[in-house]
Amino acid sequence: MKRQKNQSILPFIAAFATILVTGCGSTSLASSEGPIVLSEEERTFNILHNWDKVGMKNHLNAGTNVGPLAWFSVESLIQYVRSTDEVYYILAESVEHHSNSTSTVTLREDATWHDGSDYVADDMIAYYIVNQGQVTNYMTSLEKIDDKTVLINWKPQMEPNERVKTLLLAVDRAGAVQYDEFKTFVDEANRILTSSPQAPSGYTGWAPFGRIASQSNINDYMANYTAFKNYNPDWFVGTGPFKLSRKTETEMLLVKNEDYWAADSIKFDFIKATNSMNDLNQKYNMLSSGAIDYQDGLAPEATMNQILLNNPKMAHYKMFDPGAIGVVFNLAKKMQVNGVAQPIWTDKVREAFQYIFDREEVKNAGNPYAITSWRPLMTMAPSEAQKYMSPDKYAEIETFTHDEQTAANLLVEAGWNKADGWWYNGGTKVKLNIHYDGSHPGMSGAAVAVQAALTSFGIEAILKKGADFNSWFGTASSDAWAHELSICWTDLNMSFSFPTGSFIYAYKDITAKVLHLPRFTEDDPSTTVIETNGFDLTLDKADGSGTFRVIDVLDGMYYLNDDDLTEVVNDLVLGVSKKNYGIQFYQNVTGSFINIGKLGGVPLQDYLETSRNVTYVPNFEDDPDNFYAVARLNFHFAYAVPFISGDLYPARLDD
Amino acid sequence: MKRRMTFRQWSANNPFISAFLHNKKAIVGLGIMVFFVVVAIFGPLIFPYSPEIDYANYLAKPSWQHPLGTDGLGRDVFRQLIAGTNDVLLVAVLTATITISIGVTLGLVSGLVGGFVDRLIMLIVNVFLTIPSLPVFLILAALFTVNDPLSFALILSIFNWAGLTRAIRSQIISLRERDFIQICKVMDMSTIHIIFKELMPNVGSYILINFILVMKNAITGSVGIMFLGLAAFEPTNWGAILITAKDFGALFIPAARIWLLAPIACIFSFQFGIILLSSGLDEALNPRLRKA
Amino acid sequence: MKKIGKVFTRFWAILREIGYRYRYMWQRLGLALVTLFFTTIISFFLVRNIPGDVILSYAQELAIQRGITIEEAMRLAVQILNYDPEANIFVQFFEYLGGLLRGNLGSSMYVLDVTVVRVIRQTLPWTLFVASIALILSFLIGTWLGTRLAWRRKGAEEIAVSSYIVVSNSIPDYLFGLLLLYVFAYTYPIFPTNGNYDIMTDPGINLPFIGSVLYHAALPILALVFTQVGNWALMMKGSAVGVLGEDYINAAKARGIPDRIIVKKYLKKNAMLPLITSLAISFAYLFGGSTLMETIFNYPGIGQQFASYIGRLDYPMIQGILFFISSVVIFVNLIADSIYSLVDPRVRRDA
Repeated sequence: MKRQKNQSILPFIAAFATILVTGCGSTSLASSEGPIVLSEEERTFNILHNWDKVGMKNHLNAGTNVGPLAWFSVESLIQYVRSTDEVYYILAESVEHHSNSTSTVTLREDATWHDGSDYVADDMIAYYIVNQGQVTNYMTSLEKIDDKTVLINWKPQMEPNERVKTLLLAVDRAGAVQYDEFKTFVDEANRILTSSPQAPSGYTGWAPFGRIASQSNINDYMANYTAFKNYNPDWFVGTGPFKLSRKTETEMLLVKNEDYWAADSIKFDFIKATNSMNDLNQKYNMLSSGAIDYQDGLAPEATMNQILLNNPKMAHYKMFDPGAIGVVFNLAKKMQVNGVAQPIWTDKVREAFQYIFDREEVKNAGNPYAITSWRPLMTMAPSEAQKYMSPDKYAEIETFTHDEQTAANLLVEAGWNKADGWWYNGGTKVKLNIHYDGSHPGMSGAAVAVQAALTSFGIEAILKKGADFNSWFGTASSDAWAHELSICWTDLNMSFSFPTGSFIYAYKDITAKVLHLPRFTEDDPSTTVIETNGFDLTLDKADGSGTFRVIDVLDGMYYLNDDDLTEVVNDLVLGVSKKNYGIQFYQNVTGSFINIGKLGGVPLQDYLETSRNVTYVPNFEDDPDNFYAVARLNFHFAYAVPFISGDLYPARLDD
Repeated sequence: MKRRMTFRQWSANNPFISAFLHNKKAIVGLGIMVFFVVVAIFGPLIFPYSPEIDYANYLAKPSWQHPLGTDGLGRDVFRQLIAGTNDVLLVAVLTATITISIGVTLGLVSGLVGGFVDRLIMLIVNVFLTIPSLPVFLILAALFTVNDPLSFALILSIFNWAGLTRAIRSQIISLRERDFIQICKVMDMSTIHIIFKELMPNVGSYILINFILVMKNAITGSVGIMFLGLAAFEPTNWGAILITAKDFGALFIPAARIWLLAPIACIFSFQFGIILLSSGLDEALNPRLRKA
Repeated sequence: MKKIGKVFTRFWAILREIGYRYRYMWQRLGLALVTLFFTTIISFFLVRNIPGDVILSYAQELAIQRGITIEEAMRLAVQILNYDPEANIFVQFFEYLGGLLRGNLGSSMYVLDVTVVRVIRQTLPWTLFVASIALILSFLIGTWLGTRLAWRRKGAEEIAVSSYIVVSNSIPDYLFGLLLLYVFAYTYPIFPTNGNYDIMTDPGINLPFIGSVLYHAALPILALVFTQVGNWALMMKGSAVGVLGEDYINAAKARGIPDRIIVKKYLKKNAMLPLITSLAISFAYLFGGSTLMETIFNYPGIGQQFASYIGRLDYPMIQGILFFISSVVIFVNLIADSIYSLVDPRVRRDA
């Protein structure tokens, strides 16, 4: 592991050493605004993050976890703030969409890499050639017009609609690959690409840059990509407002990039990150003692109050989260019924379970600030569903109640029976293992509530805690997953606010795997090559006109017009909700702990005066300014934007 | 014809029992353990626990209704501890039983039979003694879903039996060369007789003490495994209460401290009782350790 | 010719003599190697059976689409690189053995040039550092306490020390670490809350670095020492009591040798002997149990890294680190046995 020590930082270190020796306190390094003199501590932003202790590589695409560098050192052409879709132009100065299926990207004049060279068209194109991410499936080519201008040629038959194009460009971190540094890999990827046969015109399957790769192409590409991932540059490749200065296994120091094009608006000089994002206890303690200035997420109410009490400079904001938490069933799990192994989660049983819980109580246990939901798993959070479905279809989604008698009746219909206070199925006592991601306080609280509710209802249940998301998902998605159900996101949009985000989460990345939906096999005559190993799910159309396969509609949503899009969303959401594949407990509200003694420029100042635990969640219709401002307080959503825009700065500059 | 003796006479006649009864440590230790057993059996009957959430009442102060207050979700801590005693004791006892059974059996076989069997068993013992336990626990917990006390006990036993086997074997070996065993052999007594009437009583005390010590290790181990989130747990298990409280931030919330400290106190007192008892037993049985 | 023959015979006789004199050690060495072999078998088959069939789901992803998520791309790389889950497991095992003999302990499935050796190089020194210091400190303090306890059998001191031993044994070391962390790091910021050294110091032989390393290791070491001291004291006491019963002690007393010298010359040395093998066991315990301590203190040693690989189901790493830890423990046991046999001639004789 090479240690990062940028030569130009040496003077800084010498200065600190002097300061440390002479006694910390105010320095004479004035901030760039007026005569206010800030101490080093006031210009340092402390956070918790999480990166690989061993083997972290110096570029984002290496497959290692780079922690805060992903937020503050690597950039996109355009940055969108997740959950609001507010858009900031970063590496791209402007993007113009033309009517002939092309777009022009003008790169920022003074955008530079951390090694001093300019960010140019070659770099942007290099990123897409090597990584071939999702958006390249919609392009035929990227043309370099000059060093700072790139022309995108979209595929006419699959041209995404207007509002999606910009957002698609915002998804990729195009500032991760410098052409000069990765030349061999980019050139090789380009060679493989151009030697692949062109797709026939009108082809809508997977074909990045309009090429269909043969098996040997794929092998070559993967070999090259692997080599690319393994390559370790001797500087951290990035363009962002902060550079990597020092690193140990447990701490990372980022220092302000003085050559950044917006260096003047950035008032913080250092970001110090501690590697410990998953230990709840440490997280709360550090918030309480003021060791960190920011933390995303919520805490149980008592904990929150205590933190705010112990630390008079800490405030908590809440913001809206496009996801819902609840139960996801393991459809593949079997139990012994009359001596034969049968799936537990038959249709009637899943329906019965919708009535067992007092969802208000579960919500309180998980996240008292959230919004209770009485719906089943829909693959879209209620807020998103309301936005993208037609109102009548949204109203058709079934809502349940807390009705244990109905639940009991349905279970009896399903063949279960209750004896001496416990439920049995075909002679075997029902015992459920509840698996959940233990690093998420909402899921932990909800899991406990679910276990309690099931036990009082007469179904034995025990809890299995996964240490963090990766270990939970690693186990839950495996074929041999031994648990009957999981408390996790039932619906989540990890991307910009467009239905595809939710459906990708549900049917490609996470939910379908946890559900253990059946997959297409190679022998299945109804599949094409691309569909092999996709999830085999057929749902009813919303208008009752028949059925459709999910896999047929998943990929084309970007280039549908509004009406068609609504129809597809109606179909998908209403169709899957009828299956009761899961129980939606609440639409999540997330939050940020913000040290208002360190950060100035925070919104909702008048609410802060009443209570530092701000419970008001602004929404877009009534309070757009605060809606955007509060979302920007969440660095998982906004990355470095609040610093670049100058929205957040050391608090003393307010005076 | 046996005379019926009063307890007093019996204890006076039996040197072991009288030593035991005169040993303060042993009495106190036994008392503590008996207390927990009683709580485990009768506790849930007197103070039944229902896992329902009473969110409005979270982190309540201790009162008559809730002698140790409530936890983060409003449930009675006192009753949780009582309900959990059963689980904890069960795992501990099961682990000790399994460990002792394996240890004694293999130790006997190894010591008596000798030869190739002995060397084979010792080899296996060596392997198990040198593979570090915790990493294997982690792997095993990822492999198997540990969700009932028996499988938990099996996993915990894996690393406890090896040391015991070796110790018992060396005791057997040193015993079998002794005169009284040789006499038995000369007199052609059956092996079973030798084992149960002559050998076992001599290692009996050792077995007894180790039974208790394994229980102690089992509790430490089970809490540790739950700490790392590797075993499915009943939320009333002491270790589970502890982890839940810690992740709630109970360390720095004054109202929650009792929720965190109560299971620690229970674990502590139980271990304390075990140590006292084993130490007392050791003294009672090993004359050289008795106070001069 | 005859001379050469004579030299050769002499040489051979010396070898045989060494072989015989130290046969105990050869036996132990052989045993250690066999144990190592079985350890390898167990760890190999254990790890292969962890559910979460990574390779299969990875293959499924390849067919669906080019992955954007890191997860998918990771697994794809494994397929390219000669990991064939269909291959006969025994064949895989022999390949693994071959690799081991060549010094290849395996590398991560997700990031290729993170090898087990590299992880060990980076994290082992820290675990060893904490474990060794804790071991030495608790051994020294514990044996000193134990000797005193054995020598004076009554008095307030015995009660105090005995109570301490019982108390420290009743609380698991990680719980104690948690309490220490809370009191001395969070509430009263005397010690740092995590990490192994201060970020502003440069690794190397310089005072600030060494100082910050000791500063960060203080709490973990303290927690370990606190809970281990009791065990050593008890063991030493038991051993010392046994020694005190020996004839030569009584003879020394009868000859009028002052107590202090008896304790120093006879008691301590002889009582310590049986404890040497316990050193190895203790070391194994500290080494293997480092995971919990390191997790609590966020100390980047090999235990913490091992736990994270299990969480990520990175099989080659899990296997490699388990093998390594086991080898270290076996090796340490071997050394302890050898030292013991060198020191105590009775063992050699009776082999």
